[in-house]
Amino acid sequence: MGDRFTFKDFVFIVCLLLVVAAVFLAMGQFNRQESRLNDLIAGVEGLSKAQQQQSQQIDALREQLKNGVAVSNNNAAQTPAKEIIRRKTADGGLYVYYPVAPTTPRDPRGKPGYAVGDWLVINLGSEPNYVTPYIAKDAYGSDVQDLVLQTLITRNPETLEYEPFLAESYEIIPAKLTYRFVLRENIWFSDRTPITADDVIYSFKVCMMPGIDADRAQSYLKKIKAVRKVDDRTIDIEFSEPYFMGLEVAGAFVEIIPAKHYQFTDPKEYNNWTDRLIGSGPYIFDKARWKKGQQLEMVRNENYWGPRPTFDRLVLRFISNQQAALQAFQSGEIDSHTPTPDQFKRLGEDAEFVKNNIVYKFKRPNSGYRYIGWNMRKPIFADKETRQALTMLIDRAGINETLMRGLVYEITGPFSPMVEQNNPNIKAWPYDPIEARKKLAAAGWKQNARGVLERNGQELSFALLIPSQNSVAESIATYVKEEFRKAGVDMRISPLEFSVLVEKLDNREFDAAMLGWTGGIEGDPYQIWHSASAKDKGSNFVGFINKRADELIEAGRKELDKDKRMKLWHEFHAVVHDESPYLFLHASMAMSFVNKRFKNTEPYPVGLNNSDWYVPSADQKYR
Amino acid sequence: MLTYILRRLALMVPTLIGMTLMLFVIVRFAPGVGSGPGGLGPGGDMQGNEARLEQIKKHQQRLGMVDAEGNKIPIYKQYFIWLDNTFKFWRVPMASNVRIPTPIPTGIDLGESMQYRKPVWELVKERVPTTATLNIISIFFVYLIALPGGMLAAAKRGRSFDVAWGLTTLALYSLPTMWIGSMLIGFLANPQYVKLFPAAGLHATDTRYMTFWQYSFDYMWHLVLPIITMTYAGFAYLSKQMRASMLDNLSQDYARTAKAKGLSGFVVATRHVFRNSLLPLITIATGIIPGLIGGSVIIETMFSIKGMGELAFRSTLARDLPVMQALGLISGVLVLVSYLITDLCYAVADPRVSYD
Amino acid sequence: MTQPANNLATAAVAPVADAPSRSFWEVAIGAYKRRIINRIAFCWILFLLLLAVFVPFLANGQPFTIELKRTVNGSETWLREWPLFAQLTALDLILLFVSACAVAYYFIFKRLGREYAEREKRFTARALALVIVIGAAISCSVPTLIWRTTPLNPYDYRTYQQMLQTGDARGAVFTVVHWGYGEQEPLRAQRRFEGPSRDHWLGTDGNGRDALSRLLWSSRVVMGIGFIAISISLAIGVVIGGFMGYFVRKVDLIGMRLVEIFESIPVFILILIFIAFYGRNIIMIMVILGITGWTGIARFVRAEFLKLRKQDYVQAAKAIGLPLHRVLFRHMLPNGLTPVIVVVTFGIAGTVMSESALSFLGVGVEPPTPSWGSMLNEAGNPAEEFRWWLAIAPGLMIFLTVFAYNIIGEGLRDAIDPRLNKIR
Repeated sequence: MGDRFTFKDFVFIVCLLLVVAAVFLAMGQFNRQESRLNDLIAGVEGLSKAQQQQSQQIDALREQLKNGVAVSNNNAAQTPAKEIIRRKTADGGLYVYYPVAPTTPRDPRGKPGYAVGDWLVINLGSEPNYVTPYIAKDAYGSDVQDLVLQTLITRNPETLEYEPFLAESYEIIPAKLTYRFVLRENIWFSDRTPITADDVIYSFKVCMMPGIDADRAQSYLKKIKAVRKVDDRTIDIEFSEPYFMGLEVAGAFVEIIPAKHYQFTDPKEYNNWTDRLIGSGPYIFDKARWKKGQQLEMVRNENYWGPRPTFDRLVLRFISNQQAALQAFQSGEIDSHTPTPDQFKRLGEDAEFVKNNIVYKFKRPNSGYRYIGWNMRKPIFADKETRQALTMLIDRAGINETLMRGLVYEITGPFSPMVEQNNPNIKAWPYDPIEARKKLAAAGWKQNARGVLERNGQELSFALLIPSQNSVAESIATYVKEEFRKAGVDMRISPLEFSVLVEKLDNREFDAAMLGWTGGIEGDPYQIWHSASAKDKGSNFVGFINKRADELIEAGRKELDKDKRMKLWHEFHAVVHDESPYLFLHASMAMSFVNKRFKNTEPYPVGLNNSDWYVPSADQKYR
Repeated sequence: MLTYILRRLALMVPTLIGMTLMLFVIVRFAPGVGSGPGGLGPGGDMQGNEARLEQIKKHQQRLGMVDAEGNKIPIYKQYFIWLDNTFKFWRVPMASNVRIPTPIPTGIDLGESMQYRKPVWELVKERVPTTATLNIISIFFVYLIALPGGMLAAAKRGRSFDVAWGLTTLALYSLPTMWIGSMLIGFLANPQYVKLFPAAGLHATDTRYMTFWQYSFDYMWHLVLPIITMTYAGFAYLSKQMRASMLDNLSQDYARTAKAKGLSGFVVATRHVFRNSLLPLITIATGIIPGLIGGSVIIETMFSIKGMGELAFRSTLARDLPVMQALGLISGVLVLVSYLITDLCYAVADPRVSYD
Repeated sequence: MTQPANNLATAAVAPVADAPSRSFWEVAIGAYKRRIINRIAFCWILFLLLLAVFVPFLANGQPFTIELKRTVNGSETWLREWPLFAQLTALDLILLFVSACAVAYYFIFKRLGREYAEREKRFTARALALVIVIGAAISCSVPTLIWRTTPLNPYDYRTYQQMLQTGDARGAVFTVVHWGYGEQEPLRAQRRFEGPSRDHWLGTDGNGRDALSRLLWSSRVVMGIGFIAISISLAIGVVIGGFMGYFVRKVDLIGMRLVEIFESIPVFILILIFIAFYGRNIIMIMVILGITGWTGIARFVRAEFLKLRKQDYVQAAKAIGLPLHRVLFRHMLPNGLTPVIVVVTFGIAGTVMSESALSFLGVGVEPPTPSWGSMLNEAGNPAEEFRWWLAIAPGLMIFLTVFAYNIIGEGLRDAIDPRLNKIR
């Protein structure tokens, strides 16, 4: 009796297991407590450091006061306030000088109720893997970098002009294909080391180094012939050929990093750094404040050389599930949310919700567009009448209103209607199935016994490739299939994994494909529309080869005068519209929900800019 | 017995080789693998032709399909290179750079994921606890409900409880997981109807400032719906096995003697017959281990839980070959080891079973 | 004392009068039919099969017949047309023909069969009939396939409605559910994701297509995939399992390793890998589901053959020198297949579940082919609102189908192996 394994033994063992489990849980609890304690200590240390710096600054001020201070009155002669200079130089170039670093057009300082403080909690969507400069592989990493790193020039969000930022002036010298930047005085990194020309040279050196994994920038930086230091504050960047995007490439592509913190012997070493991010921007990246899987906290750079950043902290959460993010927004855990079209439809038009939150829906020039590309190498798509007719068979406005719930807008060509490159005189092909059928008949298509249009023994029958697991693409494709069917065009839908889709496009093994391109303020059409990109695995996979278009692209890339250049782009737009190599579907609008306590949140044409936001003292939530 | 174990372990090797080879060949011959990320450069910019070719070459080099100069490597060589990299059949003595081959591997390197840019082992380490928790809790509940149910069904054989129980578990087994999951989420986790449970994930979005009890309660609250969805289908098989083996034993002489002696049915069932009926259940228990990989793909996808199944699913769609191969290897090892453990448990539990 | 003995003696000596000898299968089917739930399950599967065959006549946007106003030689006349029949595809016709032949075969030869006393002649007669029937079906369908691939028709229900209203058509007879599976409501009518209404009895899906029609047409996809995939699994499993069971030692060793290889990757992931990598058209899915499901069947066949190879009749067949394939397929296989039927039934249930799961995850059949799983996908997307009408009906259909197959499997298993149910 004593040897047997009875029920009591079983209960005993289960209790033992429960105790062991409890011990493990307690250990876990200890860990959490310790990490909270660490947070506390780090916070206290940060406070004491800030206090130290403040007392240092007070001491410095006291010193200065001891030495005497001249108080100016209005009548005394003063050094004249410097003015912004923007003038064309003798040899057709441009000289732009800003004595003070430009602030945004809606700079909050000076607005009623402006107060420094509070936190801004936003949802990054997904956790970045890298934040190291230049090699960040995804958009999330660059969101973090934008808060810490800065560039020589920035774009004014309203006028879309380039203004010198870290540089106090830039000069375009066409004769020597050079851009000359003069750095500001009194700018420094977050550890108070001044930014010098050496740092700029070093930044370019690193970014252009072959072993560094910076594919995105390097394809453009290849056009730079040399980066030269003229003196401690002046840098010359020389290009090997005239390029219309040269200013952007030279001044806005390469963020400036402090040379002394980014030394390395082997590029592979640099590629392996995941979290070394130090710069001159308004916020500081601290490795200790990155809770993997949950959030990343950025603290205000107390040593910022510019106007004091508004928020004490910027908290970036990583909530990837859209529903959970919406719930977090509604419960106040995050302060802004980019809704999905369906969420916007449900809430963004609900009176109660609009009353309690700030809701925005606006068109953005850089949101990209969706299209159906016809493989022009196939005889069925070889003539432009057929392509135009196919475009006219689809009610694009209807798709935009119903399938896309009115959250997209119409485009007529590869440019968003909001940028200057777009030719405003071009009207989109109308939705006219009767006219389209006439066009098809005129192009030689006749209905055969099966009811499909046929020409020279070939049926107008093809497969449309769409990315799989994309319900929007699928519903648009289904609608298009039905419309085509009524006119006698037989289309099959072929959903493919994105990598397979890309491979088929590379190998030109497709009839038609539905995809999207991202856009920009002024993009370079060479990669998509020039005939050189049509061979091998270039991005011109539809095979659009048009001599006039080639001429226009080449001329436009070299033309540094903006007005002449825009005329060239407008004509290019007309050519593309006429040839209809794509069925341009639509471009998406941007939507946003923002917590009500923030002020000054109106979006610019390019989007929301949260460095303009502030919260009045009375409404501040986090202290 | 020892020879039996060694023989089984030795037989595992060709199976593992066969399985990894099959997986290897399947994925490498498929379309879409060699082309890497899309024609857009990272960051969405268009690239020129040369840049694209360069990108494809780099991607293929990383996958091991192409060597440093850009020549294609034949598939068998690719496999051996992968085997060599994974199981390090060499060691590097302290001060030199020379690799000395050894007959047994000195380490295992599962490679680096292409979409996450992290070592696969780290990804696995992060996700196994989640999937393991889900599976273990679910198995626990399955056993808790199915065992007594099977026993009762055996005891009341042929009567209404038996028939009803059999039908009910079969019905539960036939309910499609995604249907039940989406109904549960749609009705119970939806502000439009009743919002009792959270719709996704295993934790609230901000758990830094929760106390221990809040944290645990929040965790359990998030677990309810996924566990329900995982558990209900498991009753049928286990219950049937239990019932069958109880019936077998109830007809044995010793059970009838005990009944004749005057012991109540309950005592006979629980104290005498139960223990002997446990044998087939051991088989099922060791079936848990293989389920740790990819057993719960649908549930993890529906509830946005970052577990092993979701990793396998995403890697397949993204054609993240290193992760897929590593997961295949892990899964194969787990399955074969669990078969071995099952057979050993059988031998230990039932002295009549002998493998030699 | 005499009476019981007498009875015993009488019982032992008197011949049992006129009980017809029943084959094993007839006994099993009889045991199966005794429970009412088994009969219900079988009827449901039969109903689904009939649905799969006859769905073009139940849910179609084309009317059976309609009179259209047409101009012929300058004058207007009313022409009677039969659009539904004109638009039938080759697949529809083949299915109709095969099911008609199956029914005919069942009735004719069941009757005729009773008249033959010897088993041998019955078997040959049945085989001959089957060959004739299948041959006829194939030879009739080949020309159909050639000259009649999917025709495009520009009209759908809404267009017909318009014509009826404007007076260009009259006398239309529509099917019960007057929508096809691909027809969409016009974009501007804003009838997407609508709940049940008088027009659409089960509402519409994301593209304005009628949910009930898609539900009915899915039965074809589901049944087709189920049967064909399981046939492939059966073929592979029987061959490999048979060889394993018959030739032990080396072949068994290699075969078991093969089985383990296929089993060591979780089946669902293996299916996912195949589909994601090799394509999503319906044929590929059937083949893939077939290739990944054979291990269970192989194990069973191997177990059976291991038992059977020691039987006397097998030894005798080998002794008289019958060729190997005859021994395997004519003598061992018919006896070994009995438990395999059960596995096959459960296998079909599993295939139906797998296909629905794949469609739900978005890697199933291509659009616009309807499938219950993809309807569930549209319903249950957690980021959007919950569309209950798209969730309940398809899920219920999947559940009932899988449940029915499982009941049939259980019932067959109990009927074939009654030991499991009784106490000895």
